[in-house]
Amino acid sequence: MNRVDSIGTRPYVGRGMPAAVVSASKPRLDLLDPAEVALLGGLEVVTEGIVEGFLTGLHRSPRRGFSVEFAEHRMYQPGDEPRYLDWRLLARSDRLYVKQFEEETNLRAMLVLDTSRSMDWSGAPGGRLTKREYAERLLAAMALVLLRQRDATGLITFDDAVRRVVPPRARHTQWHLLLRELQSTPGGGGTAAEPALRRVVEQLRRRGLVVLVSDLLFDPPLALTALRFLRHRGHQVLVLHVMDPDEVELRGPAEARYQDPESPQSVVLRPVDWAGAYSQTVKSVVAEWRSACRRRGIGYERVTTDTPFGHALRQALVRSTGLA
Amino acid sequence: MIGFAAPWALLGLVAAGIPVLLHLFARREPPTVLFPATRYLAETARAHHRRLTLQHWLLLLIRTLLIMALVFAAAGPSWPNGGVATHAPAALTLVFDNSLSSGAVSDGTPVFEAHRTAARAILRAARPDDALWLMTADGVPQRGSAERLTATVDRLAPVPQRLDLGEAIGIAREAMSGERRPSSTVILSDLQITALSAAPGSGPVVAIHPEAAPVSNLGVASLAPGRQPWGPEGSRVGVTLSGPPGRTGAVTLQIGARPPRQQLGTAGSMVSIGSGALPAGWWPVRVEVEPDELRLDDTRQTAIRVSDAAGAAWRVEDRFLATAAEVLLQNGRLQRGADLTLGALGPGASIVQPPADPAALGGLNRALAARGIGWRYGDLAPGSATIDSGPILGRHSVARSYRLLPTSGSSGRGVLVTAAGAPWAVRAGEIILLGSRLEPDWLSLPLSAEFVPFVDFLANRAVRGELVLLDVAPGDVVALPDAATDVVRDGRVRAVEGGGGFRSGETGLHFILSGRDTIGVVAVNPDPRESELARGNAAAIGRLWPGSRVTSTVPAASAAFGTAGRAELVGLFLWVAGLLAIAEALLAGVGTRRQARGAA
Repeated sequence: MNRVDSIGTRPYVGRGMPAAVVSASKPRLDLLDPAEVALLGGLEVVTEGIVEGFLTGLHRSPRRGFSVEFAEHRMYQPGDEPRYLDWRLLARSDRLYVKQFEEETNLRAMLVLDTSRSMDWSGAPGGRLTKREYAERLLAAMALVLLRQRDATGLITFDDAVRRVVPPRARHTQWHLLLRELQSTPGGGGTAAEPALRRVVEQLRRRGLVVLVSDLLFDPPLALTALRFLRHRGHQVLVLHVMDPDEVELRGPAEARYQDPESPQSVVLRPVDWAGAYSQTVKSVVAEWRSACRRRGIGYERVTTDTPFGHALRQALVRSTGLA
Repeated sequence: MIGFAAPWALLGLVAAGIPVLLHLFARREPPTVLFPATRYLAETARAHHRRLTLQHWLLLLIRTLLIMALVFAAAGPSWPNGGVATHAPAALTLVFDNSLSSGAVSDGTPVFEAHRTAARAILRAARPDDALWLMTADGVPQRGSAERLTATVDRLAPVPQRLDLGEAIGIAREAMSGERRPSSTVILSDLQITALSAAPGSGPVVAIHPEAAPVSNLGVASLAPGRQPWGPEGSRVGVTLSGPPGRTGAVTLQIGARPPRQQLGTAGSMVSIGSGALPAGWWPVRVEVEPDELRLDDTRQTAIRVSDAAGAAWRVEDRFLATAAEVLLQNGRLQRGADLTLGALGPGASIVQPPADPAALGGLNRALAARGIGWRYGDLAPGSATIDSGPILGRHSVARSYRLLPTSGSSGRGVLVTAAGAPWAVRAGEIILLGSRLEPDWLSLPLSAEFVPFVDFLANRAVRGELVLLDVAPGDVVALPDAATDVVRDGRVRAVEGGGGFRSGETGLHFILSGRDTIGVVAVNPDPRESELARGNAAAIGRLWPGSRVTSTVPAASAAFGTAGRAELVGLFLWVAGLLAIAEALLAGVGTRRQARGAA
């Protein structure tokens, strides 16, 4: 049953309402504040809204996905992505044509989610999603995009061990299965990414797409080794580094004991004294990850939990993969 | 060596330990915060620990030094700097004692000039932001700049007035009471004992006296011309000299332009000098001693009234009054005549007593009214009373008396004697009304030794209008008689209000006129206490003015401002404190700025 309700001035989208949500007169969920979007409904509904909005923003068919090859030209129409303009044809004929692509073979994608205890944290509880909540919605959206392209999509969740494994499939029930597994995975303990990434190899026999979503609060060498191994196997690898804004910029009381939720490690300090140095450390850590990934041909993007899902999706699927 | 104007403020140094104590003992377990990126924090702490520790200790040191600098500044530090004296802004009242005693000459130098030199030095040392007052013997504090007050000092001269230093300090403190700057009173005086008194209020006092010791002085302390008016045969004046006990000097009496009379006098005792016979009238009298180191108290003046005895008539029936008149007649204080009627209302001047027969009282009142007299007799006063107007008459019991009532429209002035607070003897023009008959049945006076002098007073003084002889010090206010209309001095006439106050800063004789008649004189003479030049010691002064400082004029400026050739270091310490505050702000703000940059 379709119904339209409202909470404040924002539209309320119930189950089965994605069409209403993404209509031209409605706000696009992919561009709203993630915490507000999460209030609009369950994971499934909200994710559909996000994806519809995201695809509308791309101005192209959802079927023109990541695994496509050139098919033909057509006349440019307002709203088309300028990047698809055929500049050589423009130079020769002085006319605007855009390139069209058609489906190639189906892609196999594996989404890998870190569900460790550190992911279950928000710098502003109630006002911002935890890193895991944010990652779940982002992965759900990505899975929906992929499945709509008939790409086989699977899921692995892990903390200090692999918790859930959903083999990649392109069935239309796959997305709901993925959602169920995402939500049913319990909050974990420590973090060990390497076993999970090894497990991906078993699931992806052919070349495919691997997306690792984590706060990367673990020792990089093993994880990087596993990621490089995936890359050597011909997989396209994307690392989404999820951070809370309060992890990027240190705030807090006059003095506090900062306790690591996954280890006994703690540090006593005054944020006002250390904020600058901490910020530099975070920047260098991000730079190191980015550099290490780039050297290995791995896509790396850092997203914070206050980034609208649409931006994060674009960042992850479009810019990082280099596909259009 | 460094010195402090307010050393007690150094107790504030204890506060300098507060940052250290807080650092050492006020540490407590901070709240625990779950933070996934603790590994980044630990990494940051490892990399920056040394720098931040150094920054913390530096901040602690700066804050401690900042408190110490402020405490030192509050304590008013100063440093010897070779005699160039400076001082913090101050409020200062300079009490310049130019009283009569400042005219003395000690060791060839006038005391007044020593005061003036010291005053100039003090005013030269004043800063533009000092609040300055100058007060002289006139007792009026005058505020002004150092230049203006120096000009005033240059114009000053010794005056014959007295300056009570205790009162002067009180006035100075009152003048400076609204000042926020630290205030002090600086006295330039010979500090003679007779000028010292307790001072109201509180505050620092610096008493500066001349280097030279006070000189021995002989002056005229008093001049008593006796009861007025004198008869034509003349009388004697009593002269008292002030000075060191046993010191003698020649005393010269000059009455008008008559030849002077001299006699040897001794300090502390009275010498009596006869005038010889004098014609009727007012005579100026001048007494002098030989000139000495203090000239202003060597002369004293007064005036005497010489008049012929009144020509009076009396009745023998008034037994007691007639007896008194006969005594006065035999002594030349009365003569027989028709100018004055004693005991009844006569055609001219009269001393009227109530009639023995009450039935005659109405006629007497009508006669008084017909003469325009503003008083009349009323009923008999109930009960007995007592004379209570001392200066004219002693206490005598009054058994019977009639009430003396002012007539409607009259002012009620002219009361001479009262009994139980009610008028008993009044004067209206040349008529004196008595409430009782001068008989023992009515009052006890006729039986006392005071009776004849009282009749003499009535006949020769009261009925002629009161003679007023007032001896006052310069600047003192004296009440003039009700009938006074003018005051004349050296031929200069000055209109005055009868009953009003009169004040003169100049010594000399001021004759009081009532219309064209001279009814008295105000003799303005130096206060004899100014002749006592002995200086009070520091202990006595300290008891009178607690916390005061007594010094000589040599270090006058430094003593006045309490800086004794020292450089004030308050400004330096405040500068240091300011620099430390800036450094503290910069250092404490490093973390904040880094945080801001990190956020950006």
